[in-house]
Amino acid sequence: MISSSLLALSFGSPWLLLGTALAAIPAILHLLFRREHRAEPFAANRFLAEATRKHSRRLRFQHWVLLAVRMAILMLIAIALARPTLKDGVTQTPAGRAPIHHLFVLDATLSMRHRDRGQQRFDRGRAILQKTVETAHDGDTFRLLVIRAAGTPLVIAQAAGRRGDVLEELARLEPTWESGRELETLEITLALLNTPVPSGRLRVSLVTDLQRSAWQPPEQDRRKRIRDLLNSIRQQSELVVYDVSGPAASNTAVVELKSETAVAIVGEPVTLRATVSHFGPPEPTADQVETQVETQVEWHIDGRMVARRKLKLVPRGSTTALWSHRFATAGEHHAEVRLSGDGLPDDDHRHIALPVRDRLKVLLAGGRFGAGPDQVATFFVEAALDPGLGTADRSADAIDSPRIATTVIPESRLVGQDLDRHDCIVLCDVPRLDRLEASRLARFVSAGGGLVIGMGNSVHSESWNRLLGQAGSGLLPGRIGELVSADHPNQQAVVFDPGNYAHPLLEVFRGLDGNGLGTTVTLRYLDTTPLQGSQVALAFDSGDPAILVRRFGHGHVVLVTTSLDPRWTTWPVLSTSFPPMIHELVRYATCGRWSARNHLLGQPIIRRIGPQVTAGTLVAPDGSSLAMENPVATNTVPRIDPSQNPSQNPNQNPLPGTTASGRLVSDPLLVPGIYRLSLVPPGESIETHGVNLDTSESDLATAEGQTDRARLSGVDAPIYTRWHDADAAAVFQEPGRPLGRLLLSILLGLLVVELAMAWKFPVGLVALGLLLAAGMLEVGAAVGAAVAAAVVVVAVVAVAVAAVWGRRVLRNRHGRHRRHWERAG
Amino acid sequence: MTGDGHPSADPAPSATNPSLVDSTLQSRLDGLTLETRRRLEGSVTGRHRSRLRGFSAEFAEHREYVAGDDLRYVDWKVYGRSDRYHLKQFEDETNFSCWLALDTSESMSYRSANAPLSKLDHARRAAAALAWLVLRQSDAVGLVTVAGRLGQLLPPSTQPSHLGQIHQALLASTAEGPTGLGSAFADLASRLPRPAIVICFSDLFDDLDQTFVGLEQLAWRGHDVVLLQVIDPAEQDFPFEDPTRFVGMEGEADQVVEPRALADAYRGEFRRFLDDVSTRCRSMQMDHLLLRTDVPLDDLLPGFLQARRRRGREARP
Repeated sequence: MISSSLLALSFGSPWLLLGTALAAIPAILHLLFRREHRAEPFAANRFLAEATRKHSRRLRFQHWVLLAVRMAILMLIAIALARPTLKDGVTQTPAGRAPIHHLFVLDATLSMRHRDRGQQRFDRGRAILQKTVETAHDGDTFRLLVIRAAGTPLVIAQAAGRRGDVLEELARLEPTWESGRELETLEITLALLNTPVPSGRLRVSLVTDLQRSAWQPPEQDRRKRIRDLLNSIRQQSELVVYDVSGPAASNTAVVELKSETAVAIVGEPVTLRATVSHFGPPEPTADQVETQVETQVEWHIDGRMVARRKLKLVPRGSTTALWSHRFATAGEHHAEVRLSGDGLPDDDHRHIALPVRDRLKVLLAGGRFGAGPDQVATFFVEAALDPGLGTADRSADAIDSPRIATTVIPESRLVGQDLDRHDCIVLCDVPRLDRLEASRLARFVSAGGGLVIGMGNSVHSESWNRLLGQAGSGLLPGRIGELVSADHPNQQAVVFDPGNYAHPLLEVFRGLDGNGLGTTVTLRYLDTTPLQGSQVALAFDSGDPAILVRRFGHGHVVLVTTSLDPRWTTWPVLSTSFPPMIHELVRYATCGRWSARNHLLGQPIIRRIGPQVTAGTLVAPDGSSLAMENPVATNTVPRIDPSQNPSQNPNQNPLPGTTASGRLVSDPLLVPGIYRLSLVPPGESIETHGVNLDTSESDLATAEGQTDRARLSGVDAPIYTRWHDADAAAVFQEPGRPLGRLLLSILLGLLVVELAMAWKFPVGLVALGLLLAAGMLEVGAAVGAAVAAAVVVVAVVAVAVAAVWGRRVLRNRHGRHRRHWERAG
Repeated sequence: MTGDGHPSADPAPSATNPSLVDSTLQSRLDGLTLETRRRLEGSVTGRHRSRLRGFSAEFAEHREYVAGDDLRYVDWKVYGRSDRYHLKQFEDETNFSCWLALDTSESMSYRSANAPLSKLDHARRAAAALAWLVLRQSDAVGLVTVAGRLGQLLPPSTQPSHLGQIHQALLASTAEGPTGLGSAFADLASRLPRPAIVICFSDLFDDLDQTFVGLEQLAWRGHDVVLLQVIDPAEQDFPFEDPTRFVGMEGEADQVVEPRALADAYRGEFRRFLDDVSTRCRSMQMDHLLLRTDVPLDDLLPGFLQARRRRGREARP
């Protein structure tokens, strides 16, 4: 029965019930009407008086009925606005609604940290979900997912019925610094919709800032996938989207901070390059393009500000800021660039870990040893790196001299060397390597070391290809082929062709006339075919590669297809470009060692370790400690993000040339800043690692479109910017006998009745009778067929009475236009 | 001269008021006459039936011969049949006097928004037209205004120049004061020296009982009473929509009504009023014509006169 439901009547906005006082308006107007109305002289007032006298009772009845109808209309409007609902228990009542299983999907990506009008987008979104929980009905259940990059999206995985617990979880949530995995989250949402729920309807509330880069990606297949998932969700549930982005916002961000100097060495200038991007409103006008945005750039070294500059940006453009610094001491340093704050301060700064060496340690291994320079394969390379000063300590004033310490060994002693003590290994005219050497070299390079290989007469290309080529460890950037010699009849000497000096290795030569590259004559070289992933940094004018490079793990391999001594080329003796080129080759090969120190948010730190190291501790920027584990020792699987392209991130496993036993792996790092890694047992120093966020979230532009459907890439779902009582809408729309729909129906009916009564009272009375009959049927059906039949009879009788009365009045309708012409007789 | 030898008398146009001269109506009335339905006595031998028996062209009845009668009027055919001497008696044709009784009470001043004329103006035009007609047929016409009592009184005359005097009197009349038709008609009945046609122009917004008592007084004295009831279309149709305070005339109380709620009831009351008037007129054998101010007179008066003439001839023995 409905009695319990009637007792459980509640109102969503009870204060609007004060509007029922508006029902007094018709009565007030009636009183006012008595005093103010149009005056019309009329000669036949006696007939009016007679008509009034005879019909006064009827007129009073009509008046009061009409007044009651008008008052009822106003009262119903007020009641309807107060959103009446019938609270029910865990089961559906005739006038209530079924329980709802809510799936909350809350965007917790970096862009949700944007703050405007003093409130973060995330907080606005959280408040919406909290309101939804607070206004939910008994029997409703909840699940909660967040859109983020690392970890699982599920916060509340099982359907939770206790609202207090859900509110606690919501209160604990914080936005991340991560980008989002929208596709995966939607897929999980869809999967949850397919799992059994206790009862009732399914509703997905998607709370996001509808960032364009995420929800309208340029890749058509990705956009299509998002659309398909949203459509599938909408088909299986009620999908409600909340856009908490607020007004269109511009944003500046440091999208990149890197060292232009491959290796930071004490006393040598280290050039830092920061790229600052401005993400402004879409489609800037011509005036806006001309107008520059100004920001303040601060440079911080080891936490201390060392410079502050103004930087002008073009709207929706990028600008580079450079800063050069000389470190006075070797050790673990870090740099940071900061911008003046805006609504999203988290992307206004970026860190870089800068381990500074007092010198580069280069191991030179030659395939030939002897007394004179021409006997020693490494002579010219050594001379170029350390011209006459050996490894003696140098004055700190000699800042123009590179600080490189060279160690020269014959290649036969390579196997006994502790390669990790060096930063770069240069192999000159080494005939061949054995498996152990090849393996050790691979590990060395993958951990960040540099390898430079020069050819010569001694080189056995077949052995090199087999052990270090594609079929072997994969170190070589190219497959070594046949000798190309000017001695051959159809071949001739070649010179370097630097092209447009595009490769970073040639940066120092760009713009220098007479740099020597174009005049260096090479008589012999090995025809080498670049392998996949390699680059040709410098070619001969014959088109064949002269220098090939490739990244291997964290390090780089540089392959020079000619010799690094005068036997094949005049380069070491006749070209001024040889020494600087050797320096560049070494620095380039070595730069990877420190790239392993800088990571993107959401990735783990993977540190190659020796057998003596058992564990490591990572201290995060917020002071918390994270343990780094050896996956083999703890039988754990490294936490790898499978969506990341391993070739783009050297931190990805598997590291070529390594085994699981030689690594420490951290959890994915979720806080940007500088981390400090200390090893157990303690190493030489605490390593600094820089973790920066992915600035793909920095463009705050929201999904475009004139309609909600267009903004959701063709999905028909409403988008709200404020909490929306979807229950109220459902109450009005839900099939069955909802209170709201009944009220609206009665209200509309009364409006028609009022119009009809004002026009012709009997007609209005008939309409009122029909409305009562319809309303009683509506109620009667809920209480049983017998009662429904009784009320139908009552309604029919009421209509009949009204019709009879109306008919009497309607009968004489001809008086108005009848011409009365009476003739006597 | 008219066809029966009586001089025709077109009223002198120079003395009339142009606002009361409806040339269209006059052209429609041309050829029509106002005839009596009763036997009246006039002073001049005219075309109307007289109550007196005399010698005229129209045979009336026989009477027995007595010594001294003129033997020229013995009906020898009757003698041949009955061997008795009977004299033929003939109708004596006389002229008549026509009184135009104009109600000048305040209610006659009413004119609704859609009406071209007030009731009084409409009645004036009808009275002027009938005055012209009566004078043209060499009968006498007079005017009396009625508003609670007899007002202006212009005795009948056959002079063509009398039309101008009637026009002046019509225009000089103003609508004011209560109706009071009953006592006025009774008073008029006592004043008229001999039977006449009395044409009343009124809306009859008065106590009908008293009004018809007065009219009966006229009828009993042998007057031929014609009632031309003038009403405004709004009084019959009640076209009002908005809530209105209807201001009463002649001291009636104001009525505040919702017209849409009361329209049908009002029309019913008015219809009953008209029916009552019509019924009473019929019972008194009194001609009654409803004149709505939005209906041109030339649509109604010619037909009324023709019908009256027809009825009159049917009623003669």
